Amino acid sequence: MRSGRRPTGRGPVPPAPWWAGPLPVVGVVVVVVAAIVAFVLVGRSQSPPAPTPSPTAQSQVVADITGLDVQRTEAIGAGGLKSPLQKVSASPLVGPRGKPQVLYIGAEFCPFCAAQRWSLAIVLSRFGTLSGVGLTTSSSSDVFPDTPTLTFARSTYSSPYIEFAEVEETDRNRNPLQSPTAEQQRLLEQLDSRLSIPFTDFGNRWVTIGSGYQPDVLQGMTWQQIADQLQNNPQGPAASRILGNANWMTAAVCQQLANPPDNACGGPDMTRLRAALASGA
Amino acid sequence: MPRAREPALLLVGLAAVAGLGTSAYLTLTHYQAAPLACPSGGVVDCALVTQSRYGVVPGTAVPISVPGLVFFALALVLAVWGARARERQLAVLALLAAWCAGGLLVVLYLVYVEIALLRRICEWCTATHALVMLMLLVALSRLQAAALRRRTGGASSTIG
Repeated sequence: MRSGRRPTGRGPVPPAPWWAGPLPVVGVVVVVVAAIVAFVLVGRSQSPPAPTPSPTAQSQVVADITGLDVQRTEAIGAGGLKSPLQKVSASPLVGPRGKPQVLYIGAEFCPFCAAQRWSLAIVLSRFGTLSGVGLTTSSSSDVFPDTPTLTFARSTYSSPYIEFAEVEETDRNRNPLQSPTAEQQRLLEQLDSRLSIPFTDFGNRWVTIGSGYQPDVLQGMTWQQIADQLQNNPQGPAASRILGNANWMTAAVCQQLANPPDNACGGPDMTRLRAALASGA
Repeated sequence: MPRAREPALLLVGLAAVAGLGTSAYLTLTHYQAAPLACPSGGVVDCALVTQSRYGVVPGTAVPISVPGLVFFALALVLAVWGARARERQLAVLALLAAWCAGGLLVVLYLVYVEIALLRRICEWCTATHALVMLMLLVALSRLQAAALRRRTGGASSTIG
């Protein structure tokens, strides 16, 4: 048997230590492969993308929502809802063009934001042109799962009366989407101490924290069914709540305009809501 | 020209050069707003990945490929140094392996973003990720060999 040849004057060759074998290299490969498998599983565990209708159908829903007849929808009044508005005392919030600003902070996963957006889109459309609105649903794993809604994430807005700023903090899987500016974050912390969303600020005169109605009335409906109810059956359970909430918020906008538009602010039903708001209802 | 004492590290150097080229391409296309040579609209969608909010260093507008350039440049320096070093070769190899291990941690985060968050793969990014992995494995194996040589005083190569 051939024995190992050793250099003269040296001691016996020590056994190879554990780190000298294939373990470190194999370990790195195993860790990387395991991590990739884990990432795939995490990705699959998240909600699938929202099942949205075709682009044409989306455009139709958005056109229906933003083109509602003001007189007919304002006739719903409060829609049986108490005022969701809280009066606040802060320096007026104006946008870059010097007009009163409506600030919305929410997130696409949030079912209460889902409810609020329907109403807010109607409010904004009464004072200007809202574009770039998409359709989505709230999270599949939160309360009121998969509530159909709009998203403001890629929206633009123009109006001769007000300005609009929106922040959708996450998508429906809670992945980060948009971040508030430092000033928006400061306002949120000042006026919404629990940092609840949706937070909607009407020029720092009134705010809503949460949605003005429960999202359960939207459950099981498609976007088009909601749009149809708003157009054709404003007394329906979903439409009356969406419109009641929208009418209260419209009153908050009207109250801070020096020359409010008659179309949105001058009708008898809106005048009653504005009076109620002014008296602290 | 002196012979490399660790020729395997030249492979790390070559990988670093390839990584530099890829990172430079991604950086240039970012600043020139040029389209990437990569499919889009499917699972492989480089534009969606690189233009996402994860495509820049957090809190900045600097594309993530810029730190990649720095990573591969320093790895190249360490690989060349390690291949030729007579003194402190073990220390250089340890530094190279640690640098590549740090790079692999960042790679794992980026792969997580691609697979779990964006559900899209950027093939240029994946190429650089594979290069980092290759560099770490080579650096690690050379570090093992150098450490074993020092431990046995060179005996390991004569056991027969």
